Amino acid sequence: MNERKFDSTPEIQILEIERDSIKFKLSNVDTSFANALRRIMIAEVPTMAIDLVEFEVNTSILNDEFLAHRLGLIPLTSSSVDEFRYTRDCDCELDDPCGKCSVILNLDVWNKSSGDQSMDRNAKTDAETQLVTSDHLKSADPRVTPVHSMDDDQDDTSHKILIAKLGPDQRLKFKAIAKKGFGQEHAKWSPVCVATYRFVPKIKISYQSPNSEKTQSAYSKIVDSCPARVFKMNQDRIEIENEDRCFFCEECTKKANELDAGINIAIESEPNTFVFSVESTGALKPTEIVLSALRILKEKLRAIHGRLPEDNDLIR
Amino acid sequence: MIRLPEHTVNLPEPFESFLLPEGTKKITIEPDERTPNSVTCIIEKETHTIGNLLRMKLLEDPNVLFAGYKVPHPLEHKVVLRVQTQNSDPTTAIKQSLDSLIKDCDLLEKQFKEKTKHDL
Repeated sequence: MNERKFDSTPEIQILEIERDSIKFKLSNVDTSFANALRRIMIAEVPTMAIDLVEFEVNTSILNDEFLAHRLGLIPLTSSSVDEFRYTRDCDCELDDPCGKCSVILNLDVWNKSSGDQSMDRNAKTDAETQLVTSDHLKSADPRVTPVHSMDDDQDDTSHKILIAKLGPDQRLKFKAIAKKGFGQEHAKWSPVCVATYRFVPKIKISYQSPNSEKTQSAYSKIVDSCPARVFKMNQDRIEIENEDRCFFCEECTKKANELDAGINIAIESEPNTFVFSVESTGALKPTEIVLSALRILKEKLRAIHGRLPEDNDLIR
Repeated sequence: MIRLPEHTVNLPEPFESFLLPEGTKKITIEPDERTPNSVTCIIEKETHTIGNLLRMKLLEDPNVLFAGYKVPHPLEHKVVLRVQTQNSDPTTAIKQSLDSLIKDCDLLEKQFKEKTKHDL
C-alpha cells in the first residue's frame, strides 16, 4: 500500500467533456476518497423523477403499475433541482402536492384511427398503431421536462422515449407527479448511467540480454500478445504506443516470462491516481453531477463534524 | 415535518436508509473501558461511503494507533467506527480528519469549477 501524507494536496485534471459525459483524472487522493465520490454520484445526487401517477383513462394493453414504473424511469431535466424541496420536508398536504416540491406532467393520447378495411393486415396494424412517447408528456413547469426535448432540432423520433403503443380507439390519459429524490431511495433518481474510476497503468520494460534474432521474434510475439494493442515494434525495441489502453491483463508479462527472451515487462498502477468516467442520463450536465457530488460529500462531513461533542471529557 | 406512510407490510421503507428518525442522535460516542484513548463512534444513517473514507483518513494520522469501521448489518443503516490514539483525545483526531477531508473537497470543488467554467 502506498503511504499518503495526512495533508497532501489533491488535484483534478479534466480530460474530456462531452454533452453527456465527462472524463477526469483525480490524483493525490486515497482510494477511499475516489470511491466515496463515485458512490455519491450514483446514490446521493438529487434529481427529479416521476413518482406518482394518477390514471384517468388507460385502455392500452399495458397495466397502470407497469406504465407508472416506465414513467418513473424517464429522465427529467433537473438542473434546477436545488430550487425544489423534498416532499417530506415540504409544508403542503400529502394529497395535494405543491409547486415547491413537485411538478405535474399531463398526458392525453387517444388513437382515433378507424382502420382502413382495404389494407392488408401488416400495413394496417402499422398505420393504426399510435406511439405514445415522452414527447406527449406536457410539463406544467418548464424547468422540469422529459430530457429529449433539450435538442429540439432533432426531428428523429428515436430520441423520444417510447412509453406505450396504442391500437385503434385505445386511450391513455393520466397526471404524473415528478418529485425530488436521490438514487439511494430508488435508482430512477440516479443522475448517472455510468460512474466508474480506473487506475492509471505504468508500464516498465527492461532489457536484460543483448539483441539477437531470437529475441526479435520473441519481441514481436510479446507485442502481438497484448489484446489492447498497447505496444508496437520500433526497429529492434518494443515501444509503448498507447499506455492508456492497458487494462492490467498482464498477458505481455506472462508472454515475456514464458519466452524467456531476456526482457522483463512490469505493469504497475500509478499510486493515488484515478481516471473517472461519468455518463449522465441527461437529467443533469456531467459537470453538475461531479460538482454536486463534491458538495454533498462536504455537507455530509460537515454534518458529522458539527454533531461531534465539543469538548470530550470521556477520556480519563 | 416528516411524514411517514402507513406501514402495511414488513418490507423496510426505502427512506429508512437515509432519514434520521426524530429524536435519534446522529452520532453516539462511547469510550472504551479497557483500552486507553479509544472510543467507539456510532454514526447513524451512513454507509461505507463515509465509514471507509473516515477510517482511511484517520490511518494517515501518525497519532492514530487504530482505526477501523464496520457496517454491522445490511438492514441496520449505521457505521461503527473505532479509533484509538497514542496520547490525545480520539474525538479530536476524528475532527482533524474531517477537517482535512472538508479541505480536500473544498479544494477539488474550486479546481473543478475553475477548470470547467467554460463548459458549465
